[in-house]
Amino acid sequence: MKKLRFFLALIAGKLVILALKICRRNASHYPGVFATKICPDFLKLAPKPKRIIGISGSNGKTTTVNMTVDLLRALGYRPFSNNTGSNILGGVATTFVYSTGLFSMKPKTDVMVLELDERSSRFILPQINPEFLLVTNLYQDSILRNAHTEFIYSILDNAVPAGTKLILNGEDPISSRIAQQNPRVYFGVEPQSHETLGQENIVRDLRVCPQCGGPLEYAFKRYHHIGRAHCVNGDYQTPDIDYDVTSFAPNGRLVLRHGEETFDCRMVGESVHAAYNLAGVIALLTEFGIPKEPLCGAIERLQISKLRLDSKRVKNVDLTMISAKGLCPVAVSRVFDTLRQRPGSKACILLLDDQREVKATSENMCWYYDVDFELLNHDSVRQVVCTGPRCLDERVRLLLAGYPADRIGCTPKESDSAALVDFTDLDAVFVLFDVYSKSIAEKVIADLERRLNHEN
Amino acid sequence: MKIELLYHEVCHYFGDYGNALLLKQALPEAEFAETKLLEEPLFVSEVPSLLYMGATTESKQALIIEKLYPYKARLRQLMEMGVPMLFTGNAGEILFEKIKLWDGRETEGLGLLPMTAERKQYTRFNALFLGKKDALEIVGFQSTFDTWRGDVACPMAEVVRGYGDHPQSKTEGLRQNNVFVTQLLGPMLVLNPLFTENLLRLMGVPKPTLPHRDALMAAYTQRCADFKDPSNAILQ
Repeated sequence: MKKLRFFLALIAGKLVILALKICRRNASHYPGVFATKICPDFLKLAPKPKRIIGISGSNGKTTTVNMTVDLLRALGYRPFSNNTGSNILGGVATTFVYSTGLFSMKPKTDVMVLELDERSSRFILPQINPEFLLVTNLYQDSILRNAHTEFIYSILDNAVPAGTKLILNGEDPISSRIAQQNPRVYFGVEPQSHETLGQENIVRDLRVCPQCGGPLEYAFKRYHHIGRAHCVNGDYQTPDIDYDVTSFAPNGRLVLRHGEETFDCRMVGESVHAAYNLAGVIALLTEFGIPKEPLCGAIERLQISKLRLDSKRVKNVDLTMISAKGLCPVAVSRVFDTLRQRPGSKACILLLDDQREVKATSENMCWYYDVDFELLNHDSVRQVVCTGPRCLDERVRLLLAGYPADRIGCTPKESDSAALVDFTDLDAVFVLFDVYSKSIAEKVIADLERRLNHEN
Repeated sequence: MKIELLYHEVCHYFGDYGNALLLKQALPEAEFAETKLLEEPLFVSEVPSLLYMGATTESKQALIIEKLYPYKARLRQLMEMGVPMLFTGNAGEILFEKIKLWDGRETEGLGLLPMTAERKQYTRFNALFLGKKDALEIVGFQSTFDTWRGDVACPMAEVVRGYGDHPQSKTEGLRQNNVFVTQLLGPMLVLNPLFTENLLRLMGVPKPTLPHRDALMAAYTQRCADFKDPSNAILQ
């Protein structure tokens, strides 16, 4: 009966894919939703490829999934993935709808790489039983959905199947403690001479020892709670690193040590976040069984998505769009830190409203007070333009962060934001956009470009 | 003037850090004692002008109840003396009689307020809130696993739009003497500048001066209008 139900669910899922194709829509989610409605055990019953990799975490999972999929393809595998779709139950189920042959009832692939939403992992992990699970990190995310990191930690901790090998960030004292009984390896990044360490942030999701509640001391702290920490009472310390990045140069080379082996490969990206992502991928694929030489060779040829950073130069002013995931205080704080460190004088326009919430309700903006707006309080940040329905709240937050009132522009209409920028002695304008406001950001950039061309 | 930020290192979640930020800027001359989890609270030996505790995690709540249990009588004494206290988010639940979990287990609270919290394991309740207390409009957000039930003689606010302590409740939070317990996040004090000024007066500040008052009031006024707008859904 269960098999029949599964078969019917599979047919339904494939019909939905066909219908969406006819309507020229992406089938990221709905085929799987239909399938799991007809057969709640769909994931459990779905024929599994020989090898399944799960990738989860608060930040960096999409980039990590994309890199993993691209590298496996370059190495001759044909991985199925949900990397262009949804990472919750419906999206993962959709991947199985695609990957299961209708008549053979067998998987069409030997390898699957699945991006997994942390909160949904309790529905997914026990049913797919991945061989590997990489967790990039755990940070404070949307309070509406994910509450706090302890909640998400407990979900993952309880959901990981016993046999799954974990690839964990050893410098995240939260995610590195998941499922302590499982086999695991840790990746990390040594402090670099070009880094500024020890940043104090509002959000530090682990401030006290997870065992005794006593103070934590850091051998080094990168930001938030990331670094190498130990309890002053001796009850806890972050683990030893198995895959340790000893050096990286932005868009240069990355050197990683694993036991007696040294990996010397192209650094994909610029930031330490990119170094963590790459270290995680190297650890994962090495544990998967890919030898060093072909792996490093494939990394040389990797391309990365330009989603995060998109820049053009107009009349000696760099206009740059930066993705800053709204509702996620750590992601936005990291972006503030990045743009603050960019050379030259700059202005920034904040398009951080969640456009779905804007249409439906009045957005919960508690998270502003978990974001380090204080990072913008820097001589090089000449102006901040707050725009959107929450502009008055953003202005309050900036003022409480100590940012000078006369350097704040404020308008509820995003289309008016470009007009508020003062280009005097400005080297750059950064437009920070949430996931759902990219098209608005593009219009703002176009407005800025028009102004610059017109005024000069 | 001494203000105790109780267990601030683990009680600043969901933006409640902003309450302490505003207080520090409103009272630049005051001394702020940020009591750590393993330290004896200031209130044990002194009388603070304000005791503040912000939202925390559920596991830290249980730990905090354990830490404060030896000082329960002292807390009761201060509450009866009229010492101003503010508990935001889920912080106030430590004062309740008990917290009932989804599987039937119960965590005993300090028993200082006649209330019970009932907790769901995974279901998060998110809503906006508009209330009224005397002539004052109170705004904020709810984001919680818990509902509250109990004998509320004096609430923080009557519900105008949104939900109170539980879905059928017409009131939110409670006030007992000068102890304010509310589920509201925002942060509460930043979103409600008029309430904050009243609180400062209770603390003994004759003419409270909020930093950036015009900006705070502009945001508050806009928010009150937004929350009254029926096209803005209550549930989030």
